[in-house]
Amino acid sequence: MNKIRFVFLLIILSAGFSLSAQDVPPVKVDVKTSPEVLQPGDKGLLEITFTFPEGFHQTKTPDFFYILPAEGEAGRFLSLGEIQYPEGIEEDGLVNYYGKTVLSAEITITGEAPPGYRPKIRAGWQICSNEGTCFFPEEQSFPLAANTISKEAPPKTQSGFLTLLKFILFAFTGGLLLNVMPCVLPILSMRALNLINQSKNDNRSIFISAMLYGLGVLVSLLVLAVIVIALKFTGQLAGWGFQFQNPVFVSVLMVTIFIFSLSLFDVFLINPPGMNSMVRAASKKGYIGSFFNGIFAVLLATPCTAPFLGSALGFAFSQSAAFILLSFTAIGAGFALPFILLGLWPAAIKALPKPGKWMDTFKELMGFLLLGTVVYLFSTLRYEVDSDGQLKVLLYLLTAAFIAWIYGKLSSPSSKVRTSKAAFAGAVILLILSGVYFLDFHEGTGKSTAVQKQVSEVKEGWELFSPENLQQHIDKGNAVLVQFSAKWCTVCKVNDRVIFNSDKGKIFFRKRDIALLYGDYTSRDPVIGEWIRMYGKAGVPVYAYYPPGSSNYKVLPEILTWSIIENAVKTNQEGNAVKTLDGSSFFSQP
Amino acid sequence: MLILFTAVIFAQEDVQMSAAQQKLYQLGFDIPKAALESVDFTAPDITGDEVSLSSLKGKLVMLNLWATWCPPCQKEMPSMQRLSEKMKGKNFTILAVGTPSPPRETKDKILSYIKRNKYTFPVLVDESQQVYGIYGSGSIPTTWLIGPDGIILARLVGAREWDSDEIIEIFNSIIE
Repeated sequence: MNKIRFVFLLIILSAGFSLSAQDVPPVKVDVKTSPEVLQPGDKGLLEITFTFPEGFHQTKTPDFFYILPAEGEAGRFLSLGEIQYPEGIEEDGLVNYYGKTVLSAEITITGEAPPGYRPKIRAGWQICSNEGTCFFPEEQSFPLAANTISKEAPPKTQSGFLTLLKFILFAFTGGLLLNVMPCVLPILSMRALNLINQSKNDNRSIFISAMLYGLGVLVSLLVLAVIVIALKFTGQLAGWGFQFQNPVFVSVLMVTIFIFSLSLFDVFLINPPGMNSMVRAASKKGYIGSFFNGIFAVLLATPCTAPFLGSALGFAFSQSAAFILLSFTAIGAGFALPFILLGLWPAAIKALPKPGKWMDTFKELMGFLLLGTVVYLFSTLRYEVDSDGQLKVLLYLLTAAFIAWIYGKLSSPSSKVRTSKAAFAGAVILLILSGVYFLDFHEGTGKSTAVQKQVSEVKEGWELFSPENLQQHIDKGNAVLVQFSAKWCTVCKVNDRVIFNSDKGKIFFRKRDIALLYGDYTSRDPVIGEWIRMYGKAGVPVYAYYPPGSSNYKVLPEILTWSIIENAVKTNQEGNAVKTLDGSSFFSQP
Repeated sequence: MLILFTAVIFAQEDVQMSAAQQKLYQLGFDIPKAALESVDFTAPDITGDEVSLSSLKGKLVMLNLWATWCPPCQKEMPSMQRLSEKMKGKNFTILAVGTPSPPRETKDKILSYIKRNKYTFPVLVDESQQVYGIYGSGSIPTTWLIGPDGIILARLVGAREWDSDEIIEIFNSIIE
């Protein structure tokens, strides 16, 4: 209490008790390397310019006026030669510096820093006023210019024929496995309905339908490939599933699936009499449905990757445009293969139950599944737009339902062809116009909120990923598991449930002192995007394990199992410390 | 709370400067406007013995905050040594407080500096930074003069020739 009163008195008495010496005058520090761009192995000159304020000076004392690599970075990323001090002014047996003073040292880039990480140097000073008082020493860290270390470190892969072939095979297998990934399951309900519809058709129609499904898959994947190539050459490549980072895309997909589900509840008929006979015939046989099934399946499949697919895309994204197209074609071929096989052997479809009244019930059930998909997409969207934006999307859904209902009224089988045509055109125009009106997410909508949400929603036990944070953990000798995931990534959620949020998971990582770093890719994040590429992947999920104190990471597969996690942790442990902990001499639960 | 303190402080009459304070003021010292009682602290000296400010009541204490990296502090120290010799046997003591801030300012550095220069006045090593926390002004050297009654007489931010006749005369007038 006495001390507090003393401090109060000092503050209050300051007018008569000159405290002007309290304010530490700022020293300006500029960091420069020449040449500006230094690659690992290069030598250059580091120059730090200190600007001391007028009325103050710095004395030449190497302990209190210096430049050094940041702690833990000396020799690892860079090393500095002897500091060169300029000639100063000799006063009272001391050398003093006034105004601008440049300290320089030879800099050698000794190792490659992770992308996005800027090695730092420390600069220390301790100034005195010319009247004869000195301020306590100060030290600050300054990151070197971003381009001092080679900025990109994509995996150096040999592009021989066998390698290319291997990754094409990966792409094909990945595409095939995509069919059983949780993200594609909702669309399989539509496909099932489509198949049952076809079972009454002749073999030729079934074959055409299967081919059209394949074509839908292929066309949409090729469109994606073209977008990827365009983004790659404009330097904005984000990654597989990038379109889910765009709220307008997610909203349009939601409305499309919503309208489709309404048709399953007979709010309107999807095969109106307005179409010409050929199209009508086609739609009767489910051709149009098959084609759009293919497109929908691809759109819904993109948010998550499958085994092999991540590696294949990661490789493809670093290759030429032609190879990207080829890879996407391979994915499409793999993805469509099961249904193309059904088309070739229609006997399998014929084995399905005969169409009948039960189909209406089944159809409506599928309608609910699609509505569930809409809700699922909304759960993604809420991380991308703020509450105003979310309300707009809900209003758009309501408007779309209303438009569909009006269209259904005007375009019944008994309606005139002209009325139906006009109603169809009117409905499409109204849907587009209302979409333009409602889906105008103003600047700033979402992003900042989304970022805040990410920060606040990092789960207990996880830390937010940043290159600096990762480096700090490695420096401290910790083991680290990095996870990049997104709210729209279903595989990520499955892994969360099976591994990280499980009872075992809650103990496993803590017990082994494995730091868990989480990077959210729900919205576009250039740093995480760069790291995903660095790990040789193209989309989320990405899991990378760093053994204690090591920067040699191991990228784990997209779908995690406990044996994968345990093997990664065990095989990467050097020494016996953790092996002992793993041993049966402990009553360990996991 | 702050308002209350302000009211209490401003309700107080400005303390009339004593003759000694007036002289110190003329020499460039800061003088408190109202009576300002010192705050006690305890810190080890270079031999490790604990010294507290309150144990020095009855003496004029010259509390000096310094560092080995501070040229003006180093410059004034010989005059402090001479002052302590000239004031020997009187109710006067110097407390020179060094504040370690590793890795660059360490206890060893402080001890070897004092030893090398053969200073014999009491030097405290403020490892807990308690003294600096109370009496630090942001820059050093800072010297406080604390009267035999524990009331702060004056403060000087900056260096000085401490063994001048003027200063010794003022100090003597305070302790007599």
